Amino acid sequence: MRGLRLIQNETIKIYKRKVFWIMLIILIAISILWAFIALKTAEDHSHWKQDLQAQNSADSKLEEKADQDMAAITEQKNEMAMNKYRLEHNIKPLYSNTVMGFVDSSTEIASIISIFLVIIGGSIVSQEYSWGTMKMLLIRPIHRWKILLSKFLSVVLIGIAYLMINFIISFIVGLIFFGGDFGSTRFLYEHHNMVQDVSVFFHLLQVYGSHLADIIVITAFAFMISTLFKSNALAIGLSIAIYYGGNLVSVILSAFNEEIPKYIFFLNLGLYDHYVGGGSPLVHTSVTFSACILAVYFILFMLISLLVFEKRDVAE
Amino acid sequence: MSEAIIQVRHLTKRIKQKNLVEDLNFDIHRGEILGFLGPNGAGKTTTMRMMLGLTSITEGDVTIGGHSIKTEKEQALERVGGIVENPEMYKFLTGLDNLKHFQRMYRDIPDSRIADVVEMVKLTDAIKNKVKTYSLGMRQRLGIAQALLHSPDVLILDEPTNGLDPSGIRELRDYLKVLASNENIAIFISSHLLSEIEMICDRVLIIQKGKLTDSQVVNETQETQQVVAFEVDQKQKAIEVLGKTFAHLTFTEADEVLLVETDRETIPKLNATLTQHNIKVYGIKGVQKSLEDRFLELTGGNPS
Repeated sequence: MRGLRLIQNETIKIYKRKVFWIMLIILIAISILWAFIALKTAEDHSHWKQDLQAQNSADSKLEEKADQDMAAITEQKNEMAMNKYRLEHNIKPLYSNTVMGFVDSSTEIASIISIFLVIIGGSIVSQEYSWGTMKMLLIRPIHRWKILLSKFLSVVLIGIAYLMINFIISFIVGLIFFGGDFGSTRFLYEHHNMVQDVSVFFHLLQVYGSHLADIIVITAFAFMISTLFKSNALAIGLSIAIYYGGNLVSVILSAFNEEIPKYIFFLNLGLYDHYVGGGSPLVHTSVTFSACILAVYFILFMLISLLVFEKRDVAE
Repeated sequence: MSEAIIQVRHLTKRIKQKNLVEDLNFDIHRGEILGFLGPNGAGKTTTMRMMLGLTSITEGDVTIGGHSIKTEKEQALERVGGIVENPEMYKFLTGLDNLKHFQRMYRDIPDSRIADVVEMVKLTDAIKNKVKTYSLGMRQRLGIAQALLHSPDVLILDEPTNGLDPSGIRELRDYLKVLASNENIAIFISSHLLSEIEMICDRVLIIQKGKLTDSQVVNETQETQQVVAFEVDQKQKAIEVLGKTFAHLTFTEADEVLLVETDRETIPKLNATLTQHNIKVYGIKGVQKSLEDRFLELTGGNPS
């Protein structure tokens, strides 16, 4: 009971500040811009069946020329299989100038939400020190670990709220801009050279779930740095660098050893990439492996934060 | 005196072989206002931080209501209200939201209690404004309100007069006196300026370089014994005459006057003896031999 009230306290301290609302406005603005981009780059898809057929026949001609490498050939084969499946089952591709297509493409915006959450999570502990309110917080009859945990949980709650808001806004903006064309309700992807056919809502749930897992782990990292060094600048800077510079680190490390990158937490972010999207930058890994690595790091970050916070003398 | 609500035993804080606070032993009783005096850097804040569980204890222990701050922190802090240095609040929240925030950190504080403490510290009109619009005095009062929110048995106040104007200091003093006597709260209050707290404290602890120098300074002397200055025409003769009649008292000669430490009832008798011997008395004046003087005697230096 008191635990819930602690989380309530911490969420209030997030949403009663201007920063929270500025982030929300940025999120809405980007969603609307995104819709304009979708409008501008929109292709006419009224004859999508003919388009796919034309593409397949072009691909089959290319295939006859045997001077391409194996990966390219496999990719082409998969694309042809997917197109064939679409034609057979009458499943239209998810064009971004349809409502559901726009909602799907708007999940890209979620990487900005990760940054917002790193900013919030990376300052939620250190700002109490800079405001001088940490001592006011810690003279209450509540164990320190409970206070720290309530702070982390409230950041996760805010993360879920932002993701939900992003979904709702993209849906509304999609309806306003492309209301006439709802788009496909099925989503196809290729996994182990097989065409997978799922509901588009299930697909979106997995995209958002994957983003939430990213947010939780990267925020836990920012949270730990913020707790250790009482500096939000360091926590935010380092977390964002890792979030965006991860691939560079992967390239450098791979040059020395193929195995090491697999065990680095930020290279395992983006669980759904194992199925859809650019694919995981790691070779020979599975989604289960990545999930386990993320879980281990998450527990490590939280334990370090809790232990340091529990022992620290509050004196300034 | 009533039961000791706080017991401090062998309290020591050591950082890098250096004792910031060394072997402090004292009790605080219900209804008592205990002053904690010492120059800046003497260890007052460190002591209070240890008592509130903000800083770890190297050796010794503090028990509040029988609960050790080391092993039963939650129970120990249940009955304590505190202000450490400046009572910083969340500036982007209203005064009321700040109090509600702290209300949620205790068991069962009714909303009516918030209204009561706000009334008590006279912030009713401003309580719905954001704290960033508050003056320093208002913030200090809000600090007192949050410390009293859960009707604690003990208040630990670290330099609560910091930044207050003279009328604010006076108001705070009056208020603390009422709290101690009416609500039977123990108050432990630190300051580096003796003059600010001597009027309200029942006892004063003096700390210097991490050690207590004298725990027996009791402020009661003011009421029973006082220093009286007699302005007379023949100081030597007066000392001679009074010395015979009042052998138990010591008389000293100061610039223009004759000083004697005595109780109230003896003053007219001294005066009568002087007039009997035809010594002219131009004036009799009570001189405060204040704690300040004793504080200076004890610490041998400037208190601030």
